[in-house]
Amino acid sequence: MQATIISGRKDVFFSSKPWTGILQGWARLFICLFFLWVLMTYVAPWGRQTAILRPMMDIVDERGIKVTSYYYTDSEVFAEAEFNITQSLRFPPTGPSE
Amino acid sequence: MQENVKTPKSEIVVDSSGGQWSDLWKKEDYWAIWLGFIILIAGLIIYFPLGPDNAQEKVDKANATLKAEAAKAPFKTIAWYKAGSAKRFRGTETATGKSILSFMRTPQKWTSIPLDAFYRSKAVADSANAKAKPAADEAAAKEAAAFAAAEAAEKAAEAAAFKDDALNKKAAEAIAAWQAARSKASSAKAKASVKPLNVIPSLIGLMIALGIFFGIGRVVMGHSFGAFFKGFIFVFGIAVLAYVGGKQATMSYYGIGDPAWAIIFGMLISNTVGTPKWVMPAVQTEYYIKTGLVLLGAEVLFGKILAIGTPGIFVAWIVTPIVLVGTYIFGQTVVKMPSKTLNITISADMSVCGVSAAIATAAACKAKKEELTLAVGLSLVFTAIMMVAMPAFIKAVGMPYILGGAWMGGTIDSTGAVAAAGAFLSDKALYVAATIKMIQNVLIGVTAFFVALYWVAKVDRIPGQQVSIMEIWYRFPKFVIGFIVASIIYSILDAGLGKEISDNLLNHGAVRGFTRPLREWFFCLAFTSIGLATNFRELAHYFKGGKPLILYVCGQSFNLILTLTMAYIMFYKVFPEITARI
Repeated sequence: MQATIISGRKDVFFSSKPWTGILQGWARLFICLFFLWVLMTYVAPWGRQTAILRPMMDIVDERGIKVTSYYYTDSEVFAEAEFNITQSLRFPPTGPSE
Repeated sequence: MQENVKTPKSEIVVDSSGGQWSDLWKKEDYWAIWLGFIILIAGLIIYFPLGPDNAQEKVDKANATLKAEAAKAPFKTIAWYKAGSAKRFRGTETATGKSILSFMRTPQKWTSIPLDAFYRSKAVADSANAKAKPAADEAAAKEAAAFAAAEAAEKAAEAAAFKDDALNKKAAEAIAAWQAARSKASSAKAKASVKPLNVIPSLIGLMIALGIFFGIGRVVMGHSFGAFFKGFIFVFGIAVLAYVGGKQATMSYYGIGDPAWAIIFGMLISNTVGTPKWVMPAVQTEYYIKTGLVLLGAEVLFGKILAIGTPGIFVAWIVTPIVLVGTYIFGQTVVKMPSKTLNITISADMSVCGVSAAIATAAACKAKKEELTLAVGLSLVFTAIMMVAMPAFIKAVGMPYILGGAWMGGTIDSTGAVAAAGAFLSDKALYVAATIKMIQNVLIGVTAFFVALYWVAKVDRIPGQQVSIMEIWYRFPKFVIGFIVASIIYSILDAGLGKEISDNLLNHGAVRGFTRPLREWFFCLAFTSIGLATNFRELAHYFKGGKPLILYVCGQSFNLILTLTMAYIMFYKVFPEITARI
């Protein structure tokens, strides 16, 4: 399989030492993946338990909010919010007339 | 034929001036429109027949109840809330809707074992349900108790003909507590209703379907279907991994979703072992982005801007363009940003609505992929910080929650983070924050259109050259037209169908049940392609001197000050009656 960094137009393999280059590339990939795994498994869960983040994370969990949504239709919470606001403004309780 | 850009063709979208009929089937922009509209029309055909026969009758009956209840008591009664719920007959909750959604589903949420994102056995599902059952039962019992208390309080208020202020206040509070308990019980019930799962067959089916769907366009544009499809399998595979990363329970709390993971995984591959050459025919960032943007157009409904009345329009539609233009000018004159496209992409990303605005603006001004990556990265980092810091600040200074909600809705970039920050304060803050954000989201179309127009007519113009209307048309990115037309057509349908029918069959039907899940996949494929074609060193070059960071921080500071001022004036000085009704 041929492999090339496309945008940089630079081959990742050392031309004179192709196998060293291949091994270095794979080693770098696995080291990076290892760091990501550490981040996911140890650092992020630790942060979630800190006094600053925990209350926010608990609310997110309890309400089932999808924090990763980046457009309003990606989140059901937005549909609920719009529904509640429009109902409140369209049928505002006015109470019994005097 | 004159190229309208100076940068290498492989780096950005290139349109040539001059128009030919063959452009309609040979150019990516047009293919994005055709493919996008095939999906948009299919969504309407699938979901519109799914409404109940007596839909309008049900809506009219519920609205009559709402009107009567609103006139009866000075607070939202139990019947008022129940009538609201009776108006729901969502297309996505029908058998057809559920089947379609299950075909397009992504890997699922997981905690410690990545395989859980793809497969869940019956034994595992039963175990999860058994674990969640006590909490669900407790929440259900609390809801029942809260309902009984609400019913008793309302009866007491009714016995006094709703003229005793103390009893009315007590009833309103009891009903609000019942609503909160109902929401928690619903969430707890969902956690105890886990079903066995195997997303692998549907992922394979979706990969083949999308590969053929995009492959047809590539063939007509003169490329090899086989080469595209072979590469597409790899790109789709990395996109699936990106979804797995984004669905990891802990990371998702921080708002690090599939776009970030798609770029990270793509860049890791391209900068370590290298992106295989045979994958490159499917690394079609612009093709996926433009098609996704045409679909996004259907979600930009102009009727939404009236959702919270005039204060919302002022906070979202007056402040945002001022901040956008102000930040861009600041970037050019004070920060001296070397790249105008990076400047406008960061400005739109920061002032409008984060990632989605960055995608639309970057595509409209033909920004480089590294510039989009940088803008998205900045947005994700600051979103995570603001999501935690803003509600903490609002609580600490004792700011009214509705004002705080409007402030956060107008300034925090990402939709999900706005919801989380709003919910941290109160339900009302959440509703206001979410509604302001939704109104602001509608600005994406306007922003993309004017940025594209400005770039064609001014920025890409040769100095001293007069650009004719026809030249502007030739050079204008045509997918933006598709985006705007999709938005207009769906907005007309939204208005014509009426609020409730539209919400059930358009919003919770054609859009949330069909076009949106596909749009999410297309954007994920686009970000994966960006990662697979990005070099770390090139990315670092754009960050030189920290200018993008300075621009973001200064622009966001201006945004925070202006939004807070406008929200205070609108919600507390000019329209306090609207604030009181919320």
